[in-house]
Amino acid sequence: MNKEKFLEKAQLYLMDELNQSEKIEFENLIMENDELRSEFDSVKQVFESLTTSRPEEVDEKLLFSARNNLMRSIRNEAAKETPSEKILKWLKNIFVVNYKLSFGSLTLVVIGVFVGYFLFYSSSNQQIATGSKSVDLDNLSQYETGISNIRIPNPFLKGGDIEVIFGGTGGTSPISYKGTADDPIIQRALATALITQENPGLKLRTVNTLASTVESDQFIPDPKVKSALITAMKNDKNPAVRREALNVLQKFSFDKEIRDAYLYVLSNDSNSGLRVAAINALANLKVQGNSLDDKIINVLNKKAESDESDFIRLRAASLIKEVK
Amino acid sequence: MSLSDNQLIINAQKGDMEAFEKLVYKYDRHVLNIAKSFRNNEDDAKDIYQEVFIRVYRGLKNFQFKSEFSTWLFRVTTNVCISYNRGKKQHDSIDREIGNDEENTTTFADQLPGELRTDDKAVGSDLSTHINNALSQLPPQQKMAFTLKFYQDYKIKEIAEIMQCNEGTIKRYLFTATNKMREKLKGLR
Repeated sequence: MNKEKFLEKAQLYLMDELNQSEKIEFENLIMENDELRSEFDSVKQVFESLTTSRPEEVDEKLLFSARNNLMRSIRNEAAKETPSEKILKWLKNIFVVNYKLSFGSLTLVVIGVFVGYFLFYSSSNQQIATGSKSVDLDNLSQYETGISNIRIPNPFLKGGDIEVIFGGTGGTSPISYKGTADDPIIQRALATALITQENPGLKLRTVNTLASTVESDQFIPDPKVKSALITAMKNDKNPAVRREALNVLQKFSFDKEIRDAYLYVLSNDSNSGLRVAAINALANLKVQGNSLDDKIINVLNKKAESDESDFIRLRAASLIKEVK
Repeated sequence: MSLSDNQLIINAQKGDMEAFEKLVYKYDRHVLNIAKSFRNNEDDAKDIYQEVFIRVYRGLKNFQFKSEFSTWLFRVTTNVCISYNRGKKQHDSIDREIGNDEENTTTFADQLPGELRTDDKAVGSDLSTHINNALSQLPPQQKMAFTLKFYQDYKIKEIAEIMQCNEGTIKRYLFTATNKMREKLKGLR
């Protein structure tokens, strides 16, 4: 066996990549030959050095920071899908599933668009024409006519005007208000819509629009917006809306109200993903230098013992350990 | 009851973000460990982690279950690690000048300042730092095979599957890498 071949065998032996008979054969070889044994010892020494220089495992702080950045990027990535892409994707799915159904649906959509256009085009123009800014901000949710519609052009494109229409039902004249997402009136209208509207799609666009305002430099935290987000995070039927509300709330300055809301979600939400998001939000507080008070620790203790999710139990236990 | 990877993938392909997150949380620590041991830098590791999962997010809709999800994920991880170059022009040029040159016989000890060349001082210095420096001079493919074997304890067969090479190629990477490390660390022991 030449030297190169021997070195290869020695490395495979040290990497535990030889089978039993090869191992015995190799051990006999080095036992019989002092020169080879000395060469083997030299390779073994290098392997031992490499083993001792093994890098440390990543710590929790790094992992959670990486996770937060990732989830933010993923949300942006998901938001990049344009409406036309969504329609194409939807059509593609429909066509793959059933040709007849797809053809029927497409025909109905086309008919619906035409009927809608002829019936509502002129009245829609009238609503915009009667636009007024005389809206009582403090009583927005109790405004006698209520919010009847919100038009958000594209929540992820900056600069587009959002239109809120109040009233227009039961013979009352509709009032239209247009503004950017940074406009406080629009923000309050969105917050009101978030807890009063039924349409989950509209609510998701609403909360996404609020998220975009929170990231803006000109963002001024509004207690009513925060309160609406907390209500949505705790009570909305749609987990996606609850999740998005939680994400937006993380941008607000931390206070007891937000803490209690996170703890409520962690204790009561049936969706494990939401509970994970809540415990991660609490973990973030620690990363940001906030202390975890007794109320948080009590809930974490309960979750460490009894949550049905392995991840939450482990995460809660690890947070408690870090605090101690 | 926890869902299998395949069920999570199917749900994620339908747009279920919770399923996607569960997949991420199941494997992300390992991805970050590979990235960190490959780059030996936390910021680089975070960049790689981010890039890996963005690629996975984009590619998941086309995942056809021809391999295990974990194998595919770690394949993406190794590809991102190997192609990761941001801000590393200096190291890259060293790679070209030293790492890829099979005939090069320069030892790491030769590159140390004169006062560090004696055995006593070298042994007293931080061996890990020298190993990391020597490791950074390996070509990326060799370095990746080395990282997966020595720092992540993969078998050669598994490394071959992840890096999409045959086992002979991986063995060659490992022998070459180990021999180079041995040469470069000679003066330090």
